[in-house]
Amino acid sequence: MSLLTNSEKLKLLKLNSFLGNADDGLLMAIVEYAELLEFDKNTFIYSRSDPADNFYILIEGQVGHPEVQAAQEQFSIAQNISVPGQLFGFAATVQGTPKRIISAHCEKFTKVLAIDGVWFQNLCRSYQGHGFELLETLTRAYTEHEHEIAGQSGWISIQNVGKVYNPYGKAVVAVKDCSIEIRPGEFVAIVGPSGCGKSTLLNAIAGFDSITSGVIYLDGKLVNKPGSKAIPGPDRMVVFQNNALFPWATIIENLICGPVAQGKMNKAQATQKAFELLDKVGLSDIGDLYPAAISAGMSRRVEIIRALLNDPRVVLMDEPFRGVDALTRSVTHNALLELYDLTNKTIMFITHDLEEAIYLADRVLVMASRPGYIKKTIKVNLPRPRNLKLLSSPEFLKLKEEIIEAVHEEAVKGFMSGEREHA
Amino acid sequence: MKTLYQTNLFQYLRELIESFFRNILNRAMLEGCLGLLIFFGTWQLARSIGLLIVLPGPIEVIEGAPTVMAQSDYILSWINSAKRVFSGFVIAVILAIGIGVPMGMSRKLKDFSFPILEVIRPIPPLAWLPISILFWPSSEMTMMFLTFLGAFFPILINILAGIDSIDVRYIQAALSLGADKKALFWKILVPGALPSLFTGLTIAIAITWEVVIAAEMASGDNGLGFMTWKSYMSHSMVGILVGMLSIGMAGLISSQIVSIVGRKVMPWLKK
Amino acid sequence: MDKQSLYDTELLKVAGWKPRANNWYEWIIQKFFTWQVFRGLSGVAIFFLVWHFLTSLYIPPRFEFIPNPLYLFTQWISPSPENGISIFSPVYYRHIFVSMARVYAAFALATALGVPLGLLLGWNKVFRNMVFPVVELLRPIPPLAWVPLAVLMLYGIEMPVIFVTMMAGFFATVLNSYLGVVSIDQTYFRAAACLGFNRWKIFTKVIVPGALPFIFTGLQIAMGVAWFSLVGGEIIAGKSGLGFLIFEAYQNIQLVNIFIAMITLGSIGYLSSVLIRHLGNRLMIWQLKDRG
Repeated sequence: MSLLTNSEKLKLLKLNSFLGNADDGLLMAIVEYAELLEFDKNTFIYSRSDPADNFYILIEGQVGHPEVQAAQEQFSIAQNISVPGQLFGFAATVQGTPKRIISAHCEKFTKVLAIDGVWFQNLCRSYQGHGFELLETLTRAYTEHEHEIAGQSGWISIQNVGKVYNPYGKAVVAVKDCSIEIRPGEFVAIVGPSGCGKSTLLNAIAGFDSITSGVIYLDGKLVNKPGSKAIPGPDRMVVFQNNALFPWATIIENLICGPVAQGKMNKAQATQKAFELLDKVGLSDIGDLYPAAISAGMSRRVEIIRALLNDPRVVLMDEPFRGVDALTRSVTHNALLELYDLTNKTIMFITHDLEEAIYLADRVLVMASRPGYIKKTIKVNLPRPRNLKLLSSPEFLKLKEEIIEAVHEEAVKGFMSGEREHA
Repeated sequence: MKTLYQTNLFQYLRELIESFFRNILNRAMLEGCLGLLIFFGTWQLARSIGLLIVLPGPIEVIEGAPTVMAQSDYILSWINSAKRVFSGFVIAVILAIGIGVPMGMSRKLKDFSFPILEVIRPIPPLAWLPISILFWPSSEMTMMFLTFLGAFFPILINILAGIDSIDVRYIQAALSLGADKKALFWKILVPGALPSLFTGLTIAIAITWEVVIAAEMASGDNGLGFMTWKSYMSHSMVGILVGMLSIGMAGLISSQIVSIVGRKVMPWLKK
Repeated sequence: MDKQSLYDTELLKVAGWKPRANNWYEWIIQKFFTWQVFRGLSGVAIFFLVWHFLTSLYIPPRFEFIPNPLYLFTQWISPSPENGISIFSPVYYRHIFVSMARVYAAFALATALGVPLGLLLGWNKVFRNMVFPVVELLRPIPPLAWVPLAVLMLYGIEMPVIFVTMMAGFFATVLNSYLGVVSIDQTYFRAAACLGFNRWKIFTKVIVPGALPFIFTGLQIAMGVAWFSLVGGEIIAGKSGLGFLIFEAYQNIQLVNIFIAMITLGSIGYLSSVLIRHLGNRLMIWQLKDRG
């Protein structure tokens, strides 16, 4: 294994158009940390479905992405990497996707510098404005289309988001320095006491509210940043707390109005698809009724179907099962899980019910209140598809204990300060 | 060194000035002024071009207004009309409450009286004018009867709606707390029906003004309506417009009075 | 009746529900033969009895001007009425027709102008800020105060009357349409944005249906106020119609006609409002007002 001196590595890094503009201190840190690797001709640096940990900078040789070469369209990812200093393998690492989406194949004998993605992210963040910019630029350059090749979308990146309300004088910090990464296809639940800023965060992602600091990305595209007016859109579909089905339209009309309005499907196709999904959750004969005629549990399920029919990149749910009684809730949970397994959309779910959060999600984030920030992340390793037996399994109970500990403190704080619930 | 009191005063003044500017110079206010400007501007323009032959422009109205208003009977007209409105209104309120509350409380009474009232209600007060003239001995009583008719029905309907709208759970809560009939009436029924009552009062005062003006125009000899009619007969366009605007302003002032009284009586309502 | 249906009827009685009518005559009995209807009819009957009493058997002072209800009725249905107006005289129907035509024309105008304006005021904030002060400036002026101006400015007889009648309804429709838009829950707008609706779609699919209940309240008020102002307009500037008839009868001391015209006026006004209300209920079937 040949070695390179630090100054040679630094020179190499500077060859890269993005890193070349970065702070020297940042680059030195990378140089200290980076690993030199060599690969023979016709081997894979990484294959599809490999764990995604490093990204690479080419020293010499040639690397190709077979999937990109096979695709006909132009992408921002180069099909062949042969210029020293070129960067590849970036997207998956920085998003924290567990597996690679495209593979890297060496066409010749290749030497690369390997840098751990998560470490790099943290490094950039610690450099604040400067490092931020770098991360932003790299993210934008490398991730926009990669997921479209792989057919997955819905990566949400919330970076150091803060929101300060200013109702005539008194500044209220609703959310402070919150950073979350949600991978495509992941089901993330956010729990916390009332008024801790969960809804603020969701509104910021959805585009209903603006934020005062930080940035929010969806699939690499900027969604919300301070100063600009946030725009909601059909790529981030929201399921609301209270009934948002239009009361003046029948259920079927409610379901198909989204896709039809956007021109994604024509009326007949949309109606057929809507009926299919209604069947799946057992509501096949309510199509012609008006929302006033169906019960709360049914209307929640219909709203979830409406969200999924719109084919958004991510589904945001703001305490959707709040007013539903416990028995109907378990039916709705199972309906939601079935639909999730079917479509595998990214879901961000806000709730105050801890059991619900553990039962449904892949990851549970506990949010503190006043100011709001992510206090704890708990990975839920329960197998999918979930069933009700899990509710009494020891792993479930252990997770519940963990979360209760984290939440309780915050709940007491909220109770003491007399928080007014945002019903 | 500033004392605490001085600092507070300074702060207070600064906040006052800031809020003043915020309210005057905010975008909504400016746009509103723009809208009014466009309205009056177009009016004046149409007059200057010659599109409006009969109707005077706003500038002429402003010029001619002081002359009209300086006439001795202008203030008197206000007073006379206001007297009529007030007396008719008060009688209507008393009778409407006197009939409406028992109707609201007793289902049987309501069943008896509601249909016949519904038959009489659609007849416009002005249609009662000839009969009133024949029946009532003096023209003042005629006008009071008409104003009463105009105001009575909206107030009655709103009282009934108000009593209906009281959530039965409040009554249940009061009963379980041991309330007797008197307490139930004064502490639950009256406050619960007050918001609707005041909505009815606001509608009724507007209608009362309508009826008074119409009656004065048709067969009066003093008051704002009569004054406007007189201007009409003497082809004084400015007089007509001044009369109209005075009537409008009088109506606005009365509605505002009702609103203010309402807010004082019902301090629990959110703004 | 077998045991089951006997049980059912008893149960329904205890619960206070009425069993569903099986055929049309049962339905009529159920709807019209109730204590409530009986009491209502008695109330009306008592009113007429008292009226009759006060105008035939014991006539208090000043009541001599009021005709007897029985006499009124017989005159109304007589083929050769003393005063020229009865259900058999064509001039009666002419008056009715003319008044109705005016009111409905004015009402149509008030709706066609007022509803779009009100919806626009609710939809666009800038427009609202600009136009609302002007509307609030003109609104307090009672419709009848416009009569002198209208008569001098507009040509003919019909135009001023229709204009004045329209002004009354106009402000009611504008205000209520505006309130209708404002009353729509913000969540629906957010949901529409998420569904990818453009501005026009939001207008047609969210604002118009959402404001419809308030719009119909406004229409009912407008209809009532239109009849109200019609009389004033006809008295001052009209030469036909029910309002004019009342005054003509007054001037010719044909007391019976006054009453006939008044009652006809009231009835048609009432039926018009009922018509609007039913139209509204049909259009807004999603509201499910009376459920079993």
